[in-house]
Formats: sequence, structure tokens, C-alpha cells
Amino acid sequence: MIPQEIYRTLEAIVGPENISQDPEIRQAYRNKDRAFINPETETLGTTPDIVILPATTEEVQKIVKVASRYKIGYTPSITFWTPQAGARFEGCLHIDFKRMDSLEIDAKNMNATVGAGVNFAQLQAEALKHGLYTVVPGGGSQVGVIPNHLLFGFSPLTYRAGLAPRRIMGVEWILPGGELVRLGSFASGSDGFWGEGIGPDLRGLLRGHIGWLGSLGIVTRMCVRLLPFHTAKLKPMQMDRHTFFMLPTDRQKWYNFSCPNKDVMVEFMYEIAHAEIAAAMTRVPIAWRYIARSGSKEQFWKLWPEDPEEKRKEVAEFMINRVMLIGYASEKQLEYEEKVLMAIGEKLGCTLRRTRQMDGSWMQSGDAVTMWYLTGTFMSTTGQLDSLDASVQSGVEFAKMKKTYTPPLMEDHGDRGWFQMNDFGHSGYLEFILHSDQDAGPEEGLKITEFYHFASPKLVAAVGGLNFFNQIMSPLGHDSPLYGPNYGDFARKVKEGLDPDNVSNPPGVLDTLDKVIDMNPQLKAMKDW
Amino acid sequence: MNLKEELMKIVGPEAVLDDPDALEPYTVRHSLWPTLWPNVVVSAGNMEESQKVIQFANEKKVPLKPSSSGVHFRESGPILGGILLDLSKMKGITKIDNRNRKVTVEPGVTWGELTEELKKQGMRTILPLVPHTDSSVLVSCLERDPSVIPMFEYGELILSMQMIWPTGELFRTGSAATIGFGKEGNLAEGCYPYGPGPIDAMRLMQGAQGTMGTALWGNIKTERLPVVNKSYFIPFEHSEDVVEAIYAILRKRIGHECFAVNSVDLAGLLAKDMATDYVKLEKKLPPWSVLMILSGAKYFPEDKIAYEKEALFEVRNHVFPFTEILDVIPGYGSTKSLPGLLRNPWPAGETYWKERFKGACQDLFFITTMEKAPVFVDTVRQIAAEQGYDQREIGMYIQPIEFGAGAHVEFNLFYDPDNAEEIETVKQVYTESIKEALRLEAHFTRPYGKVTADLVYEKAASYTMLAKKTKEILDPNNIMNPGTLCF
Repeated sequence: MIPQEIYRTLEAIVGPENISQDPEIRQAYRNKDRAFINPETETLGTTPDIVILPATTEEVQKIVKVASRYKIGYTPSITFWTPQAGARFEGCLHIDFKRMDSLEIDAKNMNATVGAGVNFAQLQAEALKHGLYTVVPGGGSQVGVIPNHLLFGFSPLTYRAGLAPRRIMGVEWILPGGELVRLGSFASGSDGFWGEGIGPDLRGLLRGHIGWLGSLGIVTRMCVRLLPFHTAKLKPMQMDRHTFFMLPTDRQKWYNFSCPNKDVMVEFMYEIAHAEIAAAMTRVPIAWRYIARSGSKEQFWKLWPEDPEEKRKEVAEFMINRVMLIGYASEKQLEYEEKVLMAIGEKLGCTLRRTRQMDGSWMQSGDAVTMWYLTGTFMSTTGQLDSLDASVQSGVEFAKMKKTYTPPLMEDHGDRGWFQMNDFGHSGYLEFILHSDQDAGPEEGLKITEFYHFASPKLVAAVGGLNFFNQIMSPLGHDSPLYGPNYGDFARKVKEGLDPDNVSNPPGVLDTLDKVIDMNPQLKAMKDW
Repeated sequence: MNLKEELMKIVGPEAVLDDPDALEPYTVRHSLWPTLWPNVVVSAGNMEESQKVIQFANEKKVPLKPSSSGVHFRESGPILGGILLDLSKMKGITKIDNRNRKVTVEPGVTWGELTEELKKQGMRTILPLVPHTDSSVLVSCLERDPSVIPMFEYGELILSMQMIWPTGELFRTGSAATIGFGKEGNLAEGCYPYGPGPIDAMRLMQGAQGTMGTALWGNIKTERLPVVNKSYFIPFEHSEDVVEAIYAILRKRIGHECFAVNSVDLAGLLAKDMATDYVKLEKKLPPWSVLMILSGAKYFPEDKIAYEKEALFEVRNHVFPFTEILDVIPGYGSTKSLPGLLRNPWPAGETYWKERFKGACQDLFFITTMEKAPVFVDTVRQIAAEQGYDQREIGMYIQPIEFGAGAHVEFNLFYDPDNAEEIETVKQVYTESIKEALRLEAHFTRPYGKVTADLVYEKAASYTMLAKKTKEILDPNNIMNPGTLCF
């Protein structure tokens, strides 16, 4: 337990109402067996000793200095989305940022400066009022703006709104030792409108293709880029988890095209990018199409078996290119882009289908929870970013491998995953999702873990994929020699240089899975690197 | 140790130079401040040689500066002597990938070479404002030279690269990072920029002026070369009106090239002959001009230009109704030549446009918001007047970036490199302007030269502390271009 004198020191920083050792409060922050099927929380998950809720950067800095002085490990979090956002070691100081909810929009210069506790629902709602938008990630609108920009930050809208590392501007960052560092234009003044550094861009320490998951200090304030949107109103409908926007179809519209096969669909996507049109384009996996028609887990399991297996196989083979057009400038822009889109579709023999003109959860995602409808759990095996060709072919390879792990994985008839264009067509994306029974027994659970933490990373490396989820799903001991090479050596130099006492969310992102595997004899027996 | 002899063993005797005449082209041209020379120049022709030279420098703790370009404008010379690693012979344009819109270039590839090569395939890279034909594309991208096209989608030009860390290890970034990259069965094409892992070597290399590592090749974004264009000239009296117009235009996400220059810079860019044409042109031009090119895309290009034109004129009607949008530039002629001017480097063999006026030019630039640009315009003018520099001769360039979310603001201080008095005046204007700009929170993302770097880093204590720590971690022997930035 963290000693009482330290508790009192921390209490003096935030006030007694914003710190607790109450067992019931601490239980609410328990990380054991939480979230995804994941040996990490099973093996390491625990309950924090202290929960503390700072309100300002200054308070966070003082807390981190106390932790650093007494070598107390701390875990920063806001929405607990990942296993590493909870206590995974004894004597954990859990820092919850929900009080740090400042949000300032600079509409003219298209940015927002947010505190660590702001989520995407808040940010997008404010941005839209100014004719601007951000990328609400697939994780949902409840996800924290800062951690998501630092970690993933992905949706079909990244086709025009860019990848998350590009949207990180000025940053206030408390290093593990308690030093406050200002990056980007915060280094030169009070306005965080710009992200690039003075000389070398030190955002390069803060995230690569993933972030540190809290193991390299705490970002307390961040300015993020917003992008110009259209000025027509999105009409909110339903006020529950199925909330959505009706699209103003003279400015924003979905188009679903049936493509004769995968290759045509890929050509379709490339050609749209070469034509420099569209706001998003994506291929929808089979399960999502049933989810879209379901209001609950029960409804999903009514709809799914209703279709005979042959029908589901047929649906899995369907290649529907779902394209969003936006008339950023005017209605005329949308008319122009529609004309181009139809010409390309016709040239390639693709057929326009009906689709509902609702945002489909990508403007203000409220339905991330529906991913759990299927089996009570889900995991993304890979989130690869490279050319669309590489992404799609990787999906084919994953689908082949998945067959040998089905069951216990849920049968999806060889579906090749979610793929889409990205970065105005300069890159593509594959996310390969799997579902399994949340109540799977130990033997099945081990097979799922084998697929997730052993077989998948090996396949990703073999096809040359750079997985978004590296270090969440793949041990550094396996990955590091294969990428860079030895990216882990350079990352570790940074970690040891800035956090020599390893107090920032241990075990750090570099060590977690290797540690879990070493602690678990069955997993250790599978290790062959 | 005899440095020259040791290096000759690595790259051969012909590739090592230490004769003063041979070293001179590697110094900064027309520097306001004395330029120190390297002890030796080593010309590397490939990755293996480059790596061996860097490993040697690290082992022997000899300062090393990588150099790629045939021209050296900026104050970033090797100030502690040592080895200058010349990569200008690495001229491979090793892959043009039109499907994924990228090109793989080695560091010695120049804007002149790449632009011509891509043109053959109907493609282009996004250029800074009329760069020197002999300057390195890869270095320009690494150093974040602002592009004349402020479209967000055309930004972040480096998709992946191969580099050497200061400690001598080879490394590839982004989705080129897998060890099997380029080999059979490996599907990766190097289209994604970030990582691998939780640090981003590409970001750390950007703007680092060769202090964090050496790039050996890069995958750079390319775009289709539009075949149908409509170019506009929009005259303004005041910079305040310029920025309001640009904000409104770019909020519509229309157009390709878009920026503002004052009459001095525009005359320097457009004048056919400096002796006769420049003065006449400069007098006819308005104080400020916005240049804008609307470009058609692959399908129905005229239709695209039509809706963009309509949106542009609608913005004019609402935001700057008393200003004409013209297709003729006063004293010059049709705007039809603008795509040719802005989509190519300055013609080879002709005096570079920044050196046409007086023979030399000291650039002063930083990042700010568009709305603050006029404040800096007034400030630099006032300082110039106080220091006895004719403010009417200052070139000014406002480049919106990312749809106008920020702006590169540049002042071109032209001077006669043989006139000691003028040099002294420009030094004063330059230094005093930096001090005042810093007070006004200008963000100097690229501090070239010791004078600039010292002033800028002094004002950014926490950033400087972390930059120094990072340098110690990644370059423990401080061999890469020491003394250049804050380390």
C-alpha cells in the first residue's frame, strides 16, 4: 500500500474531495479481467491503491513529482478503453482526468485545445457548430481526444482528414520525472495552433504509429487540428446508443456500390482516389451489415441464423464499396463528385444500391458498443496501414489463417476484413476483426490467445504489415528485430532516458506482453523467438 | 589518426577531398556570418559507404554533417569542422509508383531532375515556392519547406524512408520498416509514414538539419499533373485584406496553388529581365497579390474548375466585394503562365530569383497564424526603417498551410554580397526582427544559423531541455552536425 504520508501529500494537492482510498471507489477502477479477452488483465490486472482526480496541468505536475520522488507507479486514464488504462501492478496510483474538461475552439484557425478529460462527443459537437469537424474514431464518441490522438485515431474519414499524428498540434506534456514540456507552438507562446517543433519535431518521441499508452508521462493539454466541413446542419436522431445524424443530402451523401469481385472493388477505390473526389470509402465486413440491421444482441442473433449458411457465405463474398461524398464548397461540388463517381462505377461494372442517408456512426459514433453484440467480446487482430493493395492481400491471408482457429472464433465465412482508402489514396487500411465467446473455457481461450498474440503477429510480419496494434497484441521480443530493425532498442533508449525509475504506467508498453508471456507457463511454452 | 587516410580506406582516394578549392562549393553561399569549413569532404555513392563513414565518425567521435544539395543557401554549415558527408552523387529515382502516388528518391535527386522525370508520366511532386533547380528534394521535404499548395491532403510529403542513426545503425521508417521490405512475399510498399513502434524517427529527423541522422532514400508523395487549369490574380492594397480573403477561400477547400506575395517578390518572380523589366513591373503591381490556380482533375476537369470558380467568386462577393479577380497581371500579361512558373523549379542556368535583385538574399521566416501575419509585416517594416534598410525593397511572402490553419511568413532581405555596409544593415534588421517576432510569439520551426538558433531556443526552455536530452539519447557522442541547433 502507498504510505499514508504520501496520501496526505497528494491530498494537499487536489483537496480531500478529489482523492480516495475508499475500497468501493477503488473497486470501480479495478482492472482485473476487464475489457477484451486479454491475458494482460487476467495476469496483471489489479485494483489501484489510490484514485486521484486532478483539475489542472499544475496539479498533475505536482502529483507526478511526488510519484517520481517516492518512486510510486501511476496509471493515467480517462475512458479505460485499453487494458493499459487500468492498474496492472501493486501500489498503483490511478490518475483520472475527468475533471480536466476544458475545451476551446479557435474556429478561424481551425483547431481545438482540449484538456485531458475531453472526449470526442464533446469535441465534435462543438466543432460542427463552427463548420469544422474531427475524426471520431471507431472506438466511439466516448473515447478521450488526447489518448486517441496519441494512440490510434482512425476511421474512414481519415481519407480526407488525415491520420491522427498529423492532427496533433501544440502539446503540454509532463515527463515521467515531472518536468513540464511544451511542444509545437506552445513552446513559443500561448497558442498551440502548430505542431512542428523548433528544429527536430519532438512529437516523434510522443507517438510513432502507436503511442506509449501512458508509459512516457502524461499529456495534459493538446491542441488538435480541425478540418473544414460543410455548413449544412446534421440532424440528430434518437437519443440512445443508436443516436445518429440524418445527412443533408445536398451536401453529404452515402453511395453503396456492389462490385463484381474484390479486384474490381480495389480498382474502384484507387480510381476514386486518382479522381481526387470523396470524403470516405470503405468496404464493410459481413458482420457489420447484420449489426446495422440489429437493435440489440438478441436481434443480431435472430437475424444472423435466419439466413442460411449459403446466404451468409454469399454475403461474405459481397464487395460493397461504401463511399461518402461531401460538398465542402457547395452543392455543386457534390453534384460534380457524384457525376465522377457514377462514371467510374459504370466503367467498372459496379451497381449502385440503396442506402440510408444517416451518418452510419462516423460523424458522431454512438454505436461502438454494437461490436459486442455478436459474442460479448471482439478484438482487432491487425490494423495495418500501407498501400490498399497490400492491405487487401493481407486480409486474404488472414482469412485463410483464421479458418484453422474457427471455432473457437466465430464463423464469418472467410470474410476478408474491413479495408478502406486512406490519406487521399496514398495509403490503405486493413482491420481484421474477430469475435469469440466471452465465456470461452480455458482451452478455447488459450487457442484464441495463440491466434491473437502468436500466429497473427507472425503473419503480419511475414506479409510486411505495420500493425496499428503492435505492442498491444504483439510482444516486443518478437516484433522489435523484425521492424526497423530493432525499433525496440531505440524506443527503450528513450524510455530509459526519460523514465529511469519506470514509474509511468509500468509495465510500460515495451514490456507488458513479454512479461505476461513469461508469467504464464502455457503462453511461455508457445514462445519460439 | 590521419582522418583523410582513414576515410580513403573506406570510400577510396578519389572520394575524399581536403583541398581548400575543392571544399569551397560546400560552404554556405552569401552568408551574412563567417562560414567555417569542414576538414574533409567525403563523397559517398551508396548506402554501404555512407554507413561506414558514419560508423567511423561515431567510433572516432569526429563531427559529421550530411549534405545532399548542389547549393547551400541556409546558415547550417559545418561549424565545428570535421567530415562533410556528400550524398549528392546518390541520384537514384528508384521507383515511380503512380498507383499509390509516390516516388522513391535518393538524397542527391534535385527538384530539377525529379520534376522532369515525373512530368514524363503526367505526375508531379508538390513544390515549395519556385525552388532552386539544384536543391535536394529529400532534404527540402525533411526540412519542411512549405508547399505552394495549402491543401491538407497534399501535405506530409514523406511516406517512409531509410536512414542511418547517429550511432551507425540502418533503419527504415513507417510501413517500409519490416526487415523483408522489397523482398518477395513481403507486401509492404512504404506508403504509411509513422513509426515503427511508439517513437517516430521521421518526425525526429524533420527540421533537424542533419543533427539526428542521415536519410538515404525517401518515398515522397506524388500527385497527378493537372492538364486543365485556371489561374487567377487578386490584387490587394493591405495585408489584412489578403489574409481575410485567403481564410475565406480556403475554408471552401478549393483550388491548388494559393499564396500571397508583395510586389517586390512578385516582380522578382515574373520579370523577364532585371535591368529593364523589373522596375517597371514592380511599379505596376499592387502592394499585395494573391495567386491562385484552380485545376481540373482526371474526370470532367472543366466541371471541377466550374464549381470551384463559382465558389471562389461567391467568396469574393461576400468577403472582398470591391476587389477584382483577374486573369491578367498588370504589367505582365496573362495568368496562363502561372502553372508553368509554380510547378517547376527556377530554370537551370539562370540566376536564382532570390539573387536576381541584388546578388544575395537573407530569408527570415517563421510560422504564425494567418491573422497575425499583418502584425509581423508592420513590425519588420518598422525595424527595417529604423535600421536604414529601404523597407520598399523587402520581399514578402505569406504561404497559408493546411487550408490556412497556419501560415509560413517570409521576409526576403536582398543585399549586395560585396557591400560590407549593406551586409551589416541586413544583419541588424534580421537580428532585431527575430527578437521582436519572438516577443510577438512567432514560431520559428526552422532556426537556421547560430544567431537564429540561439535566440529561438533561449525563449523555449522546456523544448530546449527535451531536445538536448533527445540528442544525448540518440547521438551520445554528439557527432551529427554539432553546434547547429541547441546542442
